[in-house]
Amino acid sequence: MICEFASAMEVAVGLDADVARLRRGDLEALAALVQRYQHRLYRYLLRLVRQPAEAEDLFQQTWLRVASQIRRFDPRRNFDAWLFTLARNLAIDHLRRAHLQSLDEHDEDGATMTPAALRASGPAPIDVVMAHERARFVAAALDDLPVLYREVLALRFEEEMKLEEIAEVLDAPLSTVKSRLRRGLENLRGTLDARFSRTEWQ
Amino acid sequence: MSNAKKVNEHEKFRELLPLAAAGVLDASEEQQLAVHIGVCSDCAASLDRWQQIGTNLRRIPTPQAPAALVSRTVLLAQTRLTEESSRRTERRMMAMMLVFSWALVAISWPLAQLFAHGWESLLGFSFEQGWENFVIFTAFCWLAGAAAAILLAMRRSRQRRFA
Repeated sequence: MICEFASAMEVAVGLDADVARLRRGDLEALAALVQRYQHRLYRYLLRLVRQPAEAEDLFQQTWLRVASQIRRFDPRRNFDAWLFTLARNLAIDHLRRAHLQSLDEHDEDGATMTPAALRASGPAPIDVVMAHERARFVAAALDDLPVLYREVLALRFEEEMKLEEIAEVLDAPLSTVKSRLRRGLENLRGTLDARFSRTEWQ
Repeated sequence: MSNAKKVNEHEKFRELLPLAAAGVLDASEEQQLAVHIGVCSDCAASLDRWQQIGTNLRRIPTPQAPAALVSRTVLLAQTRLTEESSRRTERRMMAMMLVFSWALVAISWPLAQLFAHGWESLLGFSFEQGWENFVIFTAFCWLAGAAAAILLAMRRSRQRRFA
């Protein structure tokens, strides 16, 4: 417990130091932050736009924006929330522009998309394979949800953000975040029940 | 407790179940739900299913950002950071030059008077008599400054084009 706390503190101190160095224009700090957030940010963008090529483009744009706007970042704020807000704004603009997809409407071809990383990698014990299979069903159902619910579920379950942090990223009140989270889960369960048998995903 | 009240309460707790699986209930909601779960087998079973969904959501493997994308992004972002930093330095330099040129104008006018007409002209200077000269002098200084700035900007843009 103490070790975990100490390690979390170390990460937080390291992150703060990197952000402070980046604000002073340190190129190495920028590289360290890109490395630190690479998979999380890419996963979040992939969750929002679903297409790897678009997620890659937005990933790049997000870091370019970080480089341009880091001086405007208030160090008292949470860097995670700020970074994900930048990424979200770019992704939402992109979705509006490229697909003319409204925030609360279903995308019809989304049901067939599954993240590339969900492919099985090498032999594994049967329970691990089963767990991967169930996660694959849930990932497919998650991809089928409107972006409004997809993003809130991704921020809570994948990024493990607190409600307050999610509210900051979405620029929405806590009550809205809670209700989106509940509706998102209800929608996800509805999709799972409709598309897969209960024994498949439970 | 009346039946209708019981149904209402049951519905209220059913709405909390997905949020419980997401781990976002506050302490009092959690406590109330725990008490309800103890007496309602329906909600207990439903909570199990919600938690299963939550577990599966947390188990979705993380897609890995391609290494080439990450290194390309680092390079591009570092270039942008350097550009931003030199742009800030240029802006700071411009502000300093502005202050410096005003100071130069303010200082050089009495000096020009001193060299042209000697000490007496400074001691007996009246702004009412000399203001036209002062305006011409200031305008000349600023025109010279503007010409220098344009020449510098042209040189810099030529350098950028060939870089």
